[in-house]
Amino acid sequence: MLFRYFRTGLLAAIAAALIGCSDPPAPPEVQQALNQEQDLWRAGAVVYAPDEYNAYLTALQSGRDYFVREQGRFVWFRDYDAVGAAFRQLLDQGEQVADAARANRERQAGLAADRLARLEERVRALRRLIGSVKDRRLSKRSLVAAEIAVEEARLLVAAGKSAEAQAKATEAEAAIGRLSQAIRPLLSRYADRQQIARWSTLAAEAIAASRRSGGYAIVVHKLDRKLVLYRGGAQVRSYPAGMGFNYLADKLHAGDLATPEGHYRVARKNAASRYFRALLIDYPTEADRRRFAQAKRSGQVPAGTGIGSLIEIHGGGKDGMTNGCVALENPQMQELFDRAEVGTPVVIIGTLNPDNIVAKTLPWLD
Amino acid sequence: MKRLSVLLLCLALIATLSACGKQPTAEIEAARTAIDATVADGAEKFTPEELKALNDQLAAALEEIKVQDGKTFKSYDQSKNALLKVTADAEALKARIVTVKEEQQTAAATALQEATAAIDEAKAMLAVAPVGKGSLADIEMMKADVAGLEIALTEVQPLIDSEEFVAASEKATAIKEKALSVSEEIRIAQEKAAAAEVVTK
Repeated sequence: MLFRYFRTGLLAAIAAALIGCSDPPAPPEVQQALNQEQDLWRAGAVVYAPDEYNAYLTALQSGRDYFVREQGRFVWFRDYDAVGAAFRQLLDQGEQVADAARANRERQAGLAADRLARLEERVRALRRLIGSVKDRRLSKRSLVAAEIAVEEARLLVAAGKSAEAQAKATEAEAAIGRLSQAIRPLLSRYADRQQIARWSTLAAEAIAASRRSGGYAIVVHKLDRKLVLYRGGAQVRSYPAGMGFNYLADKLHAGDLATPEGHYRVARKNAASRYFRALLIDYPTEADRRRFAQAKRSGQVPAGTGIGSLIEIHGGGKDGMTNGCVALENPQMQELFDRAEVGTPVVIIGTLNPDNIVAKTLPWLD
Repeated sequence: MKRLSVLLLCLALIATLSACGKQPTAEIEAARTAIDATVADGAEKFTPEELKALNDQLAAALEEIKVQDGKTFKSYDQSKNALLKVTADAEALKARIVTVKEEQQTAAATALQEATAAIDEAKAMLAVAPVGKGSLADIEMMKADVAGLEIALTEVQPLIDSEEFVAASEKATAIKEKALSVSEEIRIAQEKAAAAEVVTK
C-alpha cells in the first residue's frame, strides 16, 4: 500500500517536472531590448553618448541576469511579468540613450562642419594672398598640406564621421600654424599702421619735391606691384610692375632677391640693357649701408655677403620676377626711360593702403 | 520484484535526465577561439558589425548555459547548437574579412596610383609650362604646390602598410584632387601664354 502511494507520488512528480520543463515564452521586451542595444551600437552611442550607453549596458546586463535567474526557477514560480516590466523600463532608458546620441551626433556634425567651413575660408584666403602677392617665400608646402587635410576632413564630414573630421581639422590647423609661423614675419610690416605711415611720408615728400621743382618723381608701390610717375606733383602715369622674387622684404644684402625700400635717385640710364632699357638707381645709399652694417653686426647677414648693387628699373615684362629690380612692360619702360633723367627721385615703398590684402588676410593666420 | 523494477526505472529516468546536463565547455572554448581568430585577422577594423553580432550570439549562448545551470534537469543542447553556429559564423567571417580587406586594399592602391599619376601629369605640365614673362611667379607657386603634394603622397604608402586602407584612400583622393587642380591651373596659364603670343604676333 505504502509503495503504491510512493509510486503514484513519484510518477506525479516526474510528470510535473517534465511538464515544467516546457518553458513559457520569454517576454517580448527581452528581444526588443537586445535589438535596441544593437541599434544603439550601430548608431554610435558608444562614441556620442558613452556615459549614458555604459549605464544602459550595465542596466541591460542586470536585466539579463534577472531574466536568467527567473528562467532558472521552477516554472510555476517564474515571474515573467516582472521581467517584462524591468525590460520595458530598460527600453525607455535605451530611447533616452538614442536621443542623447542622436543629439550629440548632430551637434558634433554641426561643429565639424562649422570648423571645416572656417578652415576652408582660411585656406582660400591664404591661397588668394599667395596668388596675389607672389613672393616666392610665401609658396609653402604647408599650405598644400593644409589643403589636403581640409579635403580629407570634407570627405569625412560628408561620410558622417565627425570625430575623424575633427582630427583632420586639427591636422589642417597645425599645417596653417606652421605656414603662419613661416610667413608672418614677411607680412606683418604690411599690416603695421606705423610702417605704412612712414611709407606714406616718404612718398608724400617725393611728390612734394616734384611739385616744388616741377620735375618728375617715381614712386614704386611694391605690394600693389605698380610704378607711378609724377610730374609737378601730379600723377601722369601708372604702370603695372614686376618685383624681386622675395620682394616683400626690404633689401638687406646681395642675393636676398628683395627689392629695396627708401629714397633713391636715377644714377644712370642704359639704353642697351639686357632687359630692353634700364634706369640704374643709387642703391645702396648711406642709409642702406648703415642698416646693412647693423644687420651684419647682429648676424643677420651671411658671412662673406656684400650689400649688393645694380638695382634697376628695367623692361622685360611686368610679370617676370627679378633679383630685386623693378620690371615694366617694354613700351611702358620706353615711356619712362624717355621722361626720367639722371637724378630723378625714385621712392620705393611697401604700400600706402592700410586695408591691403596682407592686412586683410593676416587675421586668418591666427 | 515488480516494485523493485519500477523503483529502478524511476531512478534510471531521473539519472538520465540529470546526466544530460554537462556544460559544453569544448564548444565554448571553440567559439571563443574562433572569435579571437577573427579579431586577430582584423575584424574590429574591417567587419565591426559582424564581430559585434558574433559576440552577441556568444553572450546569448553563455546566458542560456547559465539558465540551464540553474535547472534541476539541465539541457545544454540549445546552447551547444548556438555555440557551434557561433564557431561556424566566425569561420565564415574570417573569409569575409579577407574579402573586405582585399577590396579596401585594392581601392587604396588604386587611389594611390591615381594620385601618383595626377602628380606626374602636373609635373610634366609644369616642366613644359611657359617660363618667363607672365607666368614665372605662378610657376614658382605651382612648383611649391607639387612639392607639397609629393611630400603628402609619401604618407599614403605607410598608411597602406599599416592596413589603414580607408585613410589611405581618403588621403590619396585628396592629393589627386589637388594635383588635378594644379594641372588645370597650368593648363589655363598655358592657354593665356598662347593667347598672349598670338596677340603679340
